[in-house]
Amino acid sequence: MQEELLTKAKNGDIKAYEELIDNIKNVLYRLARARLDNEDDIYDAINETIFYAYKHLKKLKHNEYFQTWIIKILINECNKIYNKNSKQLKLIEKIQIVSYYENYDNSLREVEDKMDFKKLLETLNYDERMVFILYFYAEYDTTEISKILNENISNVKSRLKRGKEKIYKMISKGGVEYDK
Amino acid sequence: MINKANDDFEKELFEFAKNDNEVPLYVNKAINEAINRIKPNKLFSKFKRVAIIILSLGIVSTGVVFAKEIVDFFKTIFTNSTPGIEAAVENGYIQNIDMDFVYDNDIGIKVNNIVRDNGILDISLVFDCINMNNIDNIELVDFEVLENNNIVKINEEEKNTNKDLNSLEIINDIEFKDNKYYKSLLFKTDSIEKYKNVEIKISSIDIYQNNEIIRIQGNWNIIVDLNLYKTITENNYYKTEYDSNLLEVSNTINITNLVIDINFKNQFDISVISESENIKLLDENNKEIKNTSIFFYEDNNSINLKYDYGIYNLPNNLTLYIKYNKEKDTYIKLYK
Repeated sequence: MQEELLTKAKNGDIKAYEELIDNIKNVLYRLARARLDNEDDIYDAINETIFYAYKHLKKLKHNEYFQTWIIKILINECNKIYNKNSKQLKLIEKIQIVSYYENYDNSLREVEDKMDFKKLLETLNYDERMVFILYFYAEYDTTEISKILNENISNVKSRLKRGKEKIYKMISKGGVEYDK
Repeated sequence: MINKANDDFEKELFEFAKNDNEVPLYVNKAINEAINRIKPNKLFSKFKRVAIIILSLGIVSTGVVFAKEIVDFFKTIFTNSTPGIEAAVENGYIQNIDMDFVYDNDIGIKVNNIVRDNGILDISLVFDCINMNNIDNIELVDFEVLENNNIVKINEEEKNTNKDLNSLEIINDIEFKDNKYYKSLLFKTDSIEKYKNVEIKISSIDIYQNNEIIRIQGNWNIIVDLNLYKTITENNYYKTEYDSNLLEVSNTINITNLVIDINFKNQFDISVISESENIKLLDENNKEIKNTSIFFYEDNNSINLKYDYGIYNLPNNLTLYIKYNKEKDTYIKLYK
């Protein structure tokens, strides 16, 4: 299905391209959000990525890598905006999150109700968040993630493991601080 | 590429991620805007407001017609009917319809464009009146509106038992451009997102011309397929500040409208609060944004307010003033 849409999009079918984007917009948003805080910046990053990707779509030789390819464009775009913003003084935020639970049973579901899971993701550092989103939301394996992020695979695996441990610890024990 | 969960915890995380698939409204806007940037270079170099083309059918006794070439009439004509709809159209949130005129008795009718949002469906019709000039108005006289083959409306005045789609406004103004006339049908119902298609069957119209009214019989059938796109909504789009000892507030924004729900902890005086000057929504310049509807619940504790201004033309800051009894009033701040 993606192959067919991509072939149409490459031939100028904008509706097909739009459908391709619709299928992955959740992942694009989460990745942009992992890097950028500001709604306007996320808006610009996604907007530019989609526009740029369409303009260069014919350069994509292997259609099966479309999602990977557009994610890389997005990461570059986000990094550009982030680096531009970094020139300003950054405040370090510390946030304490208190867990209301004593043990893990069904706690993820309860977390969803009583605590924002997105806040838990935000306690991870940027590198961990990126791996988390690519692993759980976009469902890439660690080998693919290492290629997307240009990292060696052991770094990817350790970030994934650390991220899971942090979240598990927060859910089951409570109380964590993090540096933004 | 799909990962197999390594343990129960991973399984839960995968499950959560799978269900966590909503994106905020501004992300959809970003995507929409990017697509609009692309489209003008492709086919429509002369104008900016182009959106998704959806399938529509004009069916008459002469047969089904599908227009292949894009008619250029929609460059500037949008008779869409509320400020929220107009702003949405200006920003490309519109479905242009690819169809030929359906002609009968020298009158051609087709759908120009539609705007669909939570709670509203705006269908802009265009009329080609061959050999007729100086038309002051065109009115639909005998017509049926069907939703998924069920009749929901017959003529303008007849009530129907189906609550859905029974709020139909036919915008009285017609616009004239390039020898065509444009008129909007505006449906307002909370159930609009459930609907699959709308069919409009027109069998007579009145043409007001030179102080005469000419009735023309015909057979014009138009079907609009609503399946092809989704509405977008965002709850608590605005952050709010208010006296929480007094009330609670929630808000929902759609592309073309805003809904505010207020629950008072104690009853308000309905005779006071229902006066129009006692509920006012003000923008950053203290200019009032008029509501389209106010609903007071029977318990005298709750109010539902609707405004025909949406994501494209609402400001970042709003103030809602409410006088809820003879001596007391309150302010609610809404801000992004």
